[in-house]
Amino acid sequence: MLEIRDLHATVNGKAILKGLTLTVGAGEVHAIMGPNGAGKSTLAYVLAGRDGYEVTGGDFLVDGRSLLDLAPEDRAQAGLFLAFQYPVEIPGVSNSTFLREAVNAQRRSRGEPDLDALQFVKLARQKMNSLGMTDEMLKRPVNVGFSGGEKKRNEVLQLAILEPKVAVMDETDSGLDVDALRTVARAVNALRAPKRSFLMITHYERLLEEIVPDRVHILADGRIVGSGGPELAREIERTGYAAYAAAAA
Amino acid sequence: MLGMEARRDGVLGLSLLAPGFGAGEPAGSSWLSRLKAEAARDFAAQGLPTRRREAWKYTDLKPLAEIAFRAPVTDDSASVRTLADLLDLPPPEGSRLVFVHGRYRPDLSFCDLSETGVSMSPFNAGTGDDKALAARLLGRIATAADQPLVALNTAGMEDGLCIHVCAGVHLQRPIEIVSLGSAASEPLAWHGRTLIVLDDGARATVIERQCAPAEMPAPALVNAVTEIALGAAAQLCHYRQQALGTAGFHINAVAAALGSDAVYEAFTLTTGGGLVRNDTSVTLDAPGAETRLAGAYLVDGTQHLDTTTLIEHRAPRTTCREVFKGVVDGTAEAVFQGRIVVQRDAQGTNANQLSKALLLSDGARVNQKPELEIYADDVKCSHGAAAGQIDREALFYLRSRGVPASVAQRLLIEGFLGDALSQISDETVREAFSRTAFAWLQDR
Repeated sequence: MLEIRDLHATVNGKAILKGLTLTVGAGEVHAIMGPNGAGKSTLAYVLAGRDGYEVTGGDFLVDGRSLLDLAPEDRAQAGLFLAFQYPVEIPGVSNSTFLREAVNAQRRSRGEPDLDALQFVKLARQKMNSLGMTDEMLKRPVNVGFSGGEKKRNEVLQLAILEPKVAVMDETDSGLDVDALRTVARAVNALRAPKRSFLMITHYERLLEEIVPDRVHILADGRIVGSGGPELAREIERTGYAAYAAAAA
Repeated sequence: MLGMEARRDGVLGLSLLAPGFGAGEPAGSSWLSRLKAEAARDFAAQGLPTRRREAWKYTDLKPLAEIAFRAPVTDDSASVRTLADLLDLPPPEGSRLVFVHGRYRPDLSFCDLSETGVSMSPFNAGTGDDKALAARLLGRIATAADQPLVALNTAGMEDGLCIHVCAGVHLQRPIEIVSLGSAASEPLAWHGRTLIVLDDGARATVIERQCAPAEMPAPALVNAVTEIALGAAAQLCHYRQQALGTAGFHINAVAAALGSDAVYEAFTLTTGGGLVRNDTSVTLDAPGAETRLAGAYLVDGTQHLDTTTLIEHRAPRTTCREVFKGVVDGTAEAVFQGRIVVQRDAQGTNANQLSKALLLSDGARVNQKPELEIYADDVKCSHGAAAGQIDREALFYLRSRGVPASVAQRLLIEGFLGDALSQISDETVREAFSRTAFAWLQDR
């Protein structure tokens, strides 16, 4: 499970997260909603350990272990996964090479032997079938020339293969049409598990119609300013963030 | 000392023509000795090129002039054989011709006698026809009058290799030329010379490897020239691998002349050498001729690598594609000079040039100079030159999946080089060169 404690972070010297506290229990799906500039994507990057995002206070833990001082790869190996809002294109590196390196790096960190090429393809095929993806996507360079939907499905494929304890989904719905959104949501729902926690970061409520969260939190000006059940998302859809933004300011 | 005198005269590097250097020695046949003597005069008139010469703007040969190089006298067979073993070359697929310090070594070579329609012989030892071929073509494709290092090579070569593939013959297996240097205790210079002639419709693959131990007690100068003549519809794949020690100066000139619909594919992989100049010039002399030049280089420390290409489109519907990619680390320096000339008659030319360098450190540098000179009006030409660093977004993306930073960086560099390596159409060579490049990355 994921525990975020009074997290403060700055980007280029500017305070973005100002004391964010949140706990996502094992097997739970929580959503974070908030207006533009509230710090949603900053939260995602801070958790994943991206350069340029400086934590100035607080802590966060996965399964009781603080990951704050770890390099991004070590955080991933500790069970944290970030599904990117904008998955990065990597020309020249095939999706299969990338996925195999990733899965083997994580296996090594657990003291497990590498998957060989055949074992890997078998695993990837099995996961891809369940996501409605074709083999051809393994051969293509990572995210290069992928449609918006393909990119997001590729993120979910990585999630399925890496089997993290905590998955942070940053604007998984952005850039998707309704059908693509359903496909991705179905895949995410299939990956819900008693020992896996999800934190869905989203701008709009529509994703939460497909992936129904246990809790919804409103992020404004770097803090959680309201929490509730799934109905909170529908309320926001009707009334907007203005009231919450005003309360935060 | 001679070098000092030479500089006072304003002509660099005359000591390279000193007696005992091959230049003054009888060459055994009158045409060859005439060619050599003429070239010696050409070199004496020009000297080593300085940076004032446009083609050498980014590569300084002055350090060469300050070293008292000697011609290799004898080679110690035992140590050379050990060296060949040390280099751990894969068993030859076809013929393998081994040269040590520019001298052919039949004892280390292997000739594939199952291939017919091909001859491989020193300029002087060939049959009458091949001798005549060498006499007719040598020095005609790579010319000494305007290229001082070709002049120096011609003056200094002891002998060379002529590969001749007869009309319509498709060689099944590659011909491999291995040029070895040993860890000599004094500075040695040698001038390998190769002439490759493919008659009409012939096809061949030639793989050249330049190797020497990574640690060399004294600097070496390898000044090689390869001349290539391709007949109509002939196809040559020419792959070169340079892994000379970092105390080496490696100057390599390739000049190719193509007949109608001929195809010249070349790839150069450079990891070794202190100062390396890869000079390739291709003239597309007849309609439909095509060249694909590509290369990958990986340099670090204080290495200096200069890739210079000149492609001349002289006839209609000629095509060239250039893809060069390099990785520069430490305080190494790379140079890419790519000149494409489209003559007035070369309508329907298609020319495409790409050069990209990845700089891995603050001290790494690259100078790029693409040049298009177009005198025809119906042409498609494009070029792109870029230098950049590792994509930090991509690096973070890989690391966020648990891939350690060093592995992530290696993957990204492999991906970057992949574009160039994929130009190699021979699968075995492509895999071998990829392995060598990736091993360099792994070892850094």
